[in-house]
Amino acid sequence: MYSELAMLIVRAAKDWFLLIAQRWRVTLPCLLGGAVLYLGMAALWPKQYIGAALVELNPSNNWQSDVAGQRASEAEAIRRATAIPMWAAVVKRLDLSPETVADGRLADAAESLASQVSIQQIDDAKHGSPIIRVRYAASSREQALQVTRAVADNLAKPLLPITLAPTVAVAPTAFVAPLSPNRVKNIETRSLPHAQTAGTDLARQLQARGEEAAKLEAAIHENSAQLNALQQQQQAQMDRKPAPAPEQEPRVLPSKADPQLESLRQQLARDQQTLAELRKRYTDDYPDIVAAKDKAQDLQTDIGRLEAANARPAQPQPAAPPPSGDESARQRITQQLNQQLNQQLNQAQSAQDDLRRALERNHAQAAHLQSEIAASKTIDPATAALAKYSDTPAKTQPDLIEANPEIDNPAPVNPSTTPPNAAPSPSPSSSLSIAEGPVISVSPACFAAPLSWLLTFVFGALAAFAAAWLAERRDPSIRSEHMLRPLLPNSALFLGSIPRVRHEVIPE
Amino acid sequence: MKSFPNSQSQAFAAAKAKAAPQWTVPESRPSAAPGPAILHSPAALNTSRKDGFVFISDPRGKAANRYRAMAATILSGAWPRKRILITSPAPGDGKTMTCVNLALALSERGQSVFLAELNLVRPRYRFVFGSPSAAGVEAALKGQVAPQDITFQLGATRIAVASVATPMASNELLGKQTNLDALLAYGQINYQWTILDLPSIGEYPAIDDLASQAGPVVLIARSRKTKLDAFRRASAALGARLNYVLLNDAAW
Repeated sequence: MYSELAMLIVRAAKDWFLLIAQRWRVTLPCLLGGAVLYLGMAALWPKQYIGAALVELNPSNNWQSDVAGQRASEAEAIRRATAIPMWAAVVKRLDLSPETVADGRLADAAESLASQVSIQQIDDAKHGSPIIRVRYAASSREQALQVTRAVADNLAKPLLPITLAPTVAVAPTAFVAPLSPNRVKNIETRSLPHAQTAGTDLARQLQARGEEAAKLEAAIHENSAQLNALQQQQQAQMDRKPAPAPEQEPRVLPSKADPQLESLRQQLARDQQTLAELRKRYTDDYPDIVAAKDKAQDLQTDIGRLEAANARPAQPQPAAPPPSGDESARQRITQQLNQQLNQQLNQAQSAQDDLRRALERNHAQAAHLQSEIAASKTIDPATAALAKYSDTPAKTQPDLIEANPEIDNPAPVNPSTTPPNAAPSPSPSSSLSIAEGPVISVSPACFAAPLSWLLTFVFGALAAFAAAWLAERRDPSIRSEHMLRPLLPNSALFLGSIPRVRHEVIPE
Repeated sequence: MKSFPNSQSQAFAAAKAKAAPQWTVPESRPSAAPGPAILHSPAALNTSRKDGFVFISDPRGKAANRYRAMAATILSGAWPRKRILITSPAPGDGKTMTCVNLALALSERGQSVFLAELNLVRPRYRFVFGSPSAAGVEAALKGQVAPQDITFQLGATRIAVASVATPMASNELLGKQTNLDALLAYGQINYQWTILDLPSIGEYPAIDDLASQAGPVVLIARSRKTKLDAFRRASAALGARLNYVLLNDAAW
């Protein structure tokens, strides 16, 4: 049974092979033409490129829930918690809807993008923890890849805590006094309720902002006291001017390195290291890299300014006035002392200004975080966040991160540790991580690259077969004994058929 | 006297082994093949070995066996004349190959064969066996030479060949019945079987006269070459005189 079937198949294959070989003048062009036709069709056919990435939820973060409904809603919770800011940032960064954005409807573009991106939790036995699949379809391969990568990165990338600006970070070493206990207590009581109720890292960030604000305020307070002392000293110096020159020793500046300068240099080294690490992962246009570059530039500017300020006091001190009590020598010493005092005053004033600007930024960020936390507590967080975002030109989280070039030491923060209908996560410190990078697939799948070449050959072969069959069907020549026998007259017999004998054609 | 190979099989084996041809001019003709024997050149023999002459290239093959069966079929019939007329609807259907192989099959069965090439416009034997001499069949048909002067023996076989030496512009010489009859009579007298390798019906439509004087009339068709319409016309032209049909190149 099987052998007969195999014989039939072999015979049919042989027949077709011989048919194609016999009709090679027709089949070869058709084979090539069919292949070219398929390739042309593959090039012209409207295709959709589907980007897919897998984001893994860290199992140590209590993501696994025993309630099926909660598991299903985790992805949606992530979508809602990260929705508007993330989509808006992606829209802006990739310039997805330039016309809509130009009309000032960034939120609409963000909402449209959010509706196009599929974020679903899938069960994958390969991974021990829940997996979220991010899918996005676009007509452009690059766009699908970029959007999928951006969304996956934004999901996996922890929200970076905002730290003190370099100028601010330096200031406390010189001017900041320890925080008063009452101030710290007030900050914590203002931040903690949000952190407890929201249970998100937004609250943690807000708390960090509060702590930083307290430090900034304390630094401003201390700096103000220092500034007042300097001003008093200057006034006293001016009051002593008419009197005979006292036996005042010139103020000797410390010869060792300035701690501010050292701190700035250390900060700059860390930032440059962070920038190098970021450059390994992203291009120069990536917002984090741009922010890190700006930060490094600011640091270098500050370092240069401090070095310039330290250079003048570090100059060799003028020689002591002659013991003869020359009046002109005392005046020169007095002028030098006044100059030094003025420099210290300017430095303190500059630090004071930096501290105030940093405090203002901190307040703005804290306000934004508070509004986001409030939005996440509403019944429909996504809608509320969208409305808030549409009403106010507040910056999105990525924008905030980009706007603050002083970001340093990013700590992993989970964007949404608590689904709306789930209990607050007790340990929201773990992060999402990309389990599988963006993979682009093509729809229709027959136009995908590996399959396309195979189908090109198959299409060409089918065209060749069709052409051979058609040529065979239209061939007016005798091809078999069965075609010959009906044509024989009654007097004639079919003597036999001679199999094909390979021989050379006798020349003319 | 230079010797022939001892037997035909030895000649075939020697040819198959691509040994140097050992065909020589016999000092005396075989008794069944009177007339002058003409040596065909070794180069012509090599050519024939590469051609479709299956009794040389593959004497035990399927094609050779088919020819043997055909020869047996023909020999089993009762024919008024032992004159086999071979033609085809169109040129290039394999008449020459069929004639030579059928002659070899008959020779293998002990029959002496006179193989006459009558395709004056497109002669092929000169490429297979080499040019026999300055005079060929066309000279015999013109009455310039006697038939025995243009006939040569094909090695140790019982086959005598009369081929065309110079292609003609047309086949009009076939209409000179007297000279043609003399040639056919020579073959009929001296050999048991005469095979007439005629032009195709498309080239020489007046083949009916020859067919009327022949024994078995064989029409050759070639797979994937002979058109159905041409075959119908040839079959109608031969009418009731057509006895056998042979299909060449029936590979599948």
